Amino acid sequence: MNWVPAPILLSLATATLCSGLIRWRRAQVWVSLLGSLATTAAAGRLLFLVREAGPQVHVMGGWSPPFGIVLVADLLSVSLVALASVVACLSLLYSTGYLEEQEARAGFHPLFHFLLMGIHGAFLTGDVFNLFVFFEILLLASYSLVAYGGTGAQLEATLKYATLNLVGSAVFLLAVGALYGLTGTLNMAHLPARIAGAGSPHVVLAILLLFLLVFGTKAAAFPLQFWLPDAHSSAPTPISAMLSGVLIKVGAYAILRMGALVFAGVQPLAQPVLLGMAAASMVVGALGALAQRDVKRLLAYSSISQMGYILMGVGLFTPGGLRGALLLILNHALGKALLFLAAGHAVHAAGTRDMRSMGGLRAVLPGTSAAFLVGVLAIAGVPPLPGFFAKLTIFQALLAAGHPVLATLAAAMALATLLYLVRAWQWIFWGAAPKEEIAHTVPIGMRAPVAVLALLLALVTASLGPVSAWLTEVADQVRSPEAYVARVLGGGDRSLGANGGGSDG
Amino acid sequence: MTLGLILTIGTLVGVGVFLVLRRNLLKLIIGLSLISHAANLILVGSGGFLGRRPPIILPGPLPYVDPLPQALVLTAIVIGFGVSAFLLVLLYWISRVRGGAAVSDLMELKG
Repeated sequence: MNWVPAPILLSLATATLCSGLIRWRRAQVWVSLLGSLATTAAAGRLLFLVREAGPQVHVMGGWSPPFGIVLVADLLSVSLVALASVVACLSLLYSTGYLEEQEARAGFHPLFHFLLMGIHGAFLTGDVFNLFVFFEILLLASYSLVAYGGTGAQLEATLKYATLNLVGSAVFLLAVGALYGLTGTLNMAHLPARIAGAGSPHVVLAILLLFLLVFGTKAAAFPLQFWLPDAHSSAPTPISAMLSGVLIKVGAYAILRMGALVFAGVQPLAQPVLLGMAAASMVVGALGALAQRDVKRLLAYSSISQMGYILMGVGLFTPGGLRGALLLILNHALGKALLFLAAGHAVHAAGTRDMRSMGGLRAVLPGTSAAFLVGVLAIAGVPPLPGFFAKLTIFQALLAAGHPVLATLAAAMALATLLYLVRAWQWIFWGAAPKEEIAHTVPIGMRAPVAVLALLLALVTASLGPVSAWLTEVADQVRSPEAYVARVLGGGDRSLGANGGGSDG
Repeated sequence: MTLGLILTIGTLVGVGVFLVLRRNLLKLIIGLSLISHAANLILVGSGGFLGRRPPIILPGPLPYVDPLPQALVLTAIVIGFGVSAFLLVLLYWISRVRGGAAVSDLMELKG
């Protein structure tokens, strides 16, 4: 069978089942957890398949490309699908403990799986308009999830988030219209050939910049990052972990995919714009985080800053830059999810999000303190954690590409990152012990994901050699998309399984 | 693209941007919807919209326009409808929780 649509279909099936089980909460939670595990297993299976047999293609409805819509799983897509599944599983597990403290309404689990379906679809699609549709699915689910809980702050954050993204969607349609009018196709594999003969590179550059505007909104690049501090800090903690850990990476993935595959010819022309946006994001995020007393808002600004580093690597588009960006995506997804979930423990125990009012929580939450430290070291880029090697690779790539000013800026912002993260750890967990008795203990459902994420970071640290080799392979496949294009457009067997047999497309 | 289509798109974007800049949140949401509809019309225009030509290939040397953008627009209209519905409910909850539906009621989150 063709495994490519499996993550999408499993998320959809789980979402549908969960919506049917609204009156039976316990069953709904179990179906949701099992569904997320099944999606992760499917993502893993797909990962091994692509590793052995190259990019896998699924032709939707039998309409062959370039007229029909295809789902394509190459190394970059499946790596991100697997990463997203793992973070989603852990966030979902966390939410089972977290939501019991609040009024657990029944729509959370279906919405979460629709969000996951949108994420997997965005990573796996091979058609530009299908990318728009999956983006809308994941955005609509995320609007509802950010507003989940109905407090004034959450509603305000959701309105800002939704407004900016609605404008982004309008620009996306504009860009799709322009692209279709210019080339006559929307299939990502067919576009490079059509764009090459499509006339002035400046028109193509203009369309690329429109796409950069849209995906920059999703990835919270400066000057489109205004929604992120509000949305990520007001959302329920497991949703913050998903938003910061996975959703902004979808924006970076879209920039990378469009730049590498579709707009490969004019990508160098847009490089100054992308590098400028990335540098500004780094600075704005770091400076914003330095000024925060609210722990979740600090982590949100930190996400903007780290996305700046990732977009820097993507913008450089050299092997080193891409490898650094991919390792930083892995590091940030695990590390920021860890930080958000651990901060959730602290907020839960202290009853406030203001870090200056917390203190001495190390006595009450020793495991959380250690896990938070692991997250701090990972995001700040302290060796031997992968964040250090990722940022070092990006610095080297910047110097090799002839941008010493940007490299210095990146290093300075890395120092700032270290400062505000370690200071946050100190404010929350060190200092005088809390004055009153902590009434709530943290349930096991909330503690387990934090421990697992810390272990995963340790695992990545220990196996950094193989991970780096894998990411080099991913980066190479992204930079030379001939295999992708050949698999999609070449006739005959499209989904070669490990046993070499083709299946009906 | 006919002149009528271009003028319609321009009017929609102009009115939409004007409404987005109002104090009242309902006008904001209507303005956003108008901007989405303008984007949909641009997408229709990219298929060679020329007035009285159908997006179907009829027998004989009759003119037609590209049906694909019109199909894309149908999808986009449905998506826009869903998002508008969500935003209107969000607006209702904001007016319940904050006691008003103006931008000045949304000033809690700063910095």
